Amino acid sequence: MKGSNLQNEVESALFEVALSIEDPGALETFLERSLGSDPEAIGQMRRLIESSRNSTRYFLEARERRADLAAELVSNHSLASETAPPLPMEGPGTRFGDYLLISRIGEGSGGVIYEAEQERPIQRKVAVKILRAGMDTEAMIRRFRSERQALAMMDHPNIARVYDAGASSSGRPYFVMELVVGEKITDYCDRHRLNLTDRLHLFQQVCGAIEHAHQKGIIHRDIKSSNVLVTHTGGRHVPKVIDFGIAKAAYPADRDRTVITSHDHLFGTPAYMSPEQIDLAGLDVDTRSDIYSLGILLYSLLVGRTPLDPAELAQLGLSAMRDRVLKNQPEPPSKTLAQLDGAQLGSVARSRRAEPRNLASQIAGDLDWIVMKAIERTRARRYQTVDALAVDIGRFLNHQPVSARPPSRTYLLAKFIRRNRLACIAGASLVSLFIAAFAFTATLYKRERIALDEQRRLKFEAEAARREERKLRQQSDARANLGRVAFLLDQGRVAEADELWQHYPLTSIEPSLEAAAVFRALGDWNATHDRWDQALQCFRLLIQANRLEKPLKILEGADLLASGIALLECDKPEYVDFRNDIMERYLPSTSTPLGAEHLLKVCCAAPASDRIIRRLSGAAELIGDPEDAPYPSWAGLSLALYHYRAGDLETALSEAKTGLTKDYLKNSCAASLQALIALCEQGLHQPVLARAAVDRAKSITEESGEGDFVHGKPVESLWFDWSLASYLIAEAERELSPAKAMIPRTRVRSGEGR
Amino acid sequence: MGDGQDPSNSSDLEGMTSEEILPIVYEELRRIAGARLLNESRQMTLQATALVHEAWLRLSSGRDVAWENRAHFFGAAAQAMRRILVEKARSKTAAKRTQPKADDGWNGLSEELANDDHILMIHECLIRLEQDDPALARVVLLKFYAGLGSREIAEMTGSSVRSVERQWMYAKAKLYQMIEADDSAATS
Repeated sequence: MKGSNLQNEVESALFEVALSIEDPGALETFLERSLGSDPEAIGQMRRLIESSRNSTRYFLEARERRADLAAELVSNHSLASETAPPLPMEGPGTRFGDYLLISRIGEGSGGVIYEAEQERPIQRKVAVKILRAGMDTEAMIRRFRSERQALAMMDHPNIARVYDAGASSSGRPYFVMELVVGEKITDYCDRHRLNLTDRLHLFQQVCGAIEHAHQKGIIHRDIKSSNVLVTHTGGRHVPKVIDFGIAKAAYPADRDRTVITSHDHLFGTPAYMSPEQIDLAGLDVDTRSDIYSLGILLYSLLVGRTPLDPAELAQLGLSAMRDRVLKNQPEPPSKTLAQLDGAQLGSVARSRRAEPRNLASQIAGDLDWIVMKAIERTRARRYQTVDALAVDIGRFLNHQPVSARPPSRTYLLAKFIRRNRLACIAGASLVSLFIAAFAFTATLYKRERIALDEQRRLKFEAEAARREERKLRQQSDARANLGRVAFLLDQGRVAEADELWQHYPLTSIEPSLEAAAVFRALGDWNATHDRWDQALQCFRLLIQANRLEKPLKILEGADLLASGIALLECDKPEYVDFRNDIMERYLPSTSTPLGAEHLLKVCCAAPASDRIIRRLSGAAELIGDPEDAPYPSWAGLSLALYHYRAGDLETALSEAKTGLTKDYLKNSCAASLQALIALCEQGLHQPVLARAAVDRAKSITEESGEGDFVHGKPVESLWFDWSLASYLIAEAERELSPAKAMIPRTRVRSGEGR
Repeated sequence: MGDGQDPSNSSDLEGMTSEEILPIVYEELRRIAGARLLNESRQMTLQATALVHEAWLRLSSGRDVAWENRAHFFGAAAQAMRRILVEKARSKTAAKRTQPKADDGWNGLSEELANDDHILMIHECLIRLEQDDPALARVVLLKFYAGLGSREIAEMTGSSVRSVERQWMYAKAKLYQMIEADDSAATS
């Protein structure tokens, strides 16, 4: 048996690591590296991981059964051979230790709160929270004592202090806290009819308190409206976060007891709990769980509701409730608002001093993005620090762009690059522009560094935490320096930029979502300036970083196109792997015409095998009638490309011709469509028509010069739109040449002067 | 907790083995269960593992009980709880089987049987795990039946908290696999 135990020990260790890996790709790599020689063991481990998910649910159900049986046992009178005396209850007038209970001031999750008087060593009013009986009181007090050192280090005007913990004479555990006479934040805001701006200011103060605690290494674990009390002092609204440290002491971070205790009652409020807190699938709770709960708090401050109705959740059993929280796809706050009936909306708007009509439009957009980023299901996609959330709120209040916006070339970064390029030509100083575009990221980095410095001074989170910290700091340094590279490049100081780039190679930044913006900006700049080696480096990393992003966001953004075209531009066989990878990764998530259009365009830019064409047929159907697509002419191009690669020349030709008739036809799109028409006509043995089309494509390209136009009006010019056109024109020229000899691809648009 | 102890009483649990403690705990659990019904308010949810902890408080209150006895106690309490739950589940299942007509018009019968199965299935698969890997099985016993936290179990078994948590995740997955295998064998 010894051998089997040893094997179990090793297996369980591998199992633990495997469970902690969130990214499926990384999990596969891990299994292959650790069990590589043994395919059977890999299979077993996969099944075990699969079982783990179901086993959590099974054991939750088993607990419910256990509770039912216990209740039945109790209701069976014959069991009680003799009765034990009841445990005495505490109440006003009860004295224990140095505390005299005065009056009951509230009842919260897990216990009753009393106002009490402390007599020694100092006389003061305090709040005493007595938890329900039946917990392991001793262990809880021990846990609290071990945490007390850390709790004592918290010193923040918006945090209520926790002084002591102990056991009452009947064995019930209690906590002694600073007495806060306030109202829960949501009620307070409604009663004082605070408008959105005031609410956001209040919320920022709450963020400040939580950030302070996080810097001391303390996670709250139970942030919700009733744990944030607001008082009105000196003409100001002052929030206080209560119950710090209690969650951890009362419900230690055992994986299976994080929220649902062994006593089968639920700790905390499920409506505010992050998926990882309630999932019990083996992920440790970290500061990002607090960020999730803050997001829910913000949600309810904005629209007066949480995404899940607490009353409805309370009706469900534990396992049903867990399912509900895990499967819930929360609506953005403004959508929730839109679903209210007139009377409800009226009352929500009234308590925010807003017109019902305007409230939704104030929330839609940036505030929606901020909330949704904070309550992302996957914690790697949330704000990574409370500070980042607070900064975004501040930026919203100052009418500046927020970081939570989905990656978009038009929203922030491309604008920066374009602005700077113009400024370069005009010879204007770029410093202010640099500050405008990068100050936000720079502030984040700086504040992140300060936060990390602060954290470093604290020794209680041992070696692992410090290593993580060092890595983060290096990362933010590297990102900041690469931001500087982008700046130098824009100033035309290419040599300096390259030197700095040598010191901070792109590979020194881990492909994270924060880094994606840097990769995107640098990649675009280099591509626009025909520095293809450097551009490729950036796009390779962008591809990796984007794996962390939601598939739909990627599909509807321009990164796929930029990365794919960059690979084609360099004639890289890597394009084939890239195409396989994105089909594997994104085809299953392709659910919108816009996503389908993008995927089809990238995958059909180059010749494709029958198998690929077959797999893409669903995406082609999804586009449907190009007229209904968001960008009809581009949708037409995608479909024409698809049919051309499939060998259906007639359909391709007619799609391409229809594409040319659509409104809002960009010159770059027209050039691509003409090149494609040339390819089709050539295939249909119409060389004269083919020649005419390719010439039209080339002249459109030449006439457009630096920019891009719609009906002669200048619009934003994207390098990859033109790269695609030039790629297709070159292909057409090859097909049209009499001998079909290999003509090396010449760039139709030169990069000079750009 | 050790303050004000009465030395004359401190030998109650001292030096006893789990087997000797078991009947005492069993009796105490029944007594508390009876008392709860009579004295506590309805909304106070009564839970099996809360019972175990309360039994511990009662049996140990005012006495300075050595840590190893605590380990004995919870081992015994877990077994006692397991026995009580399994007996109850079995008697319910048997009652349903012998009186199918009595449940006429109540179509939750099969579901109810399946529900009690959770307790019986875990119990039976745990017996097998006890033979295969006793240390792993003990973690399940203390977790599931006595409701102990990883930290307490770690202190009792002399391993690290992390390793207890790991064993618990692993044991649950293992047990679930056994249960699933049994289930599919039974239905096919």
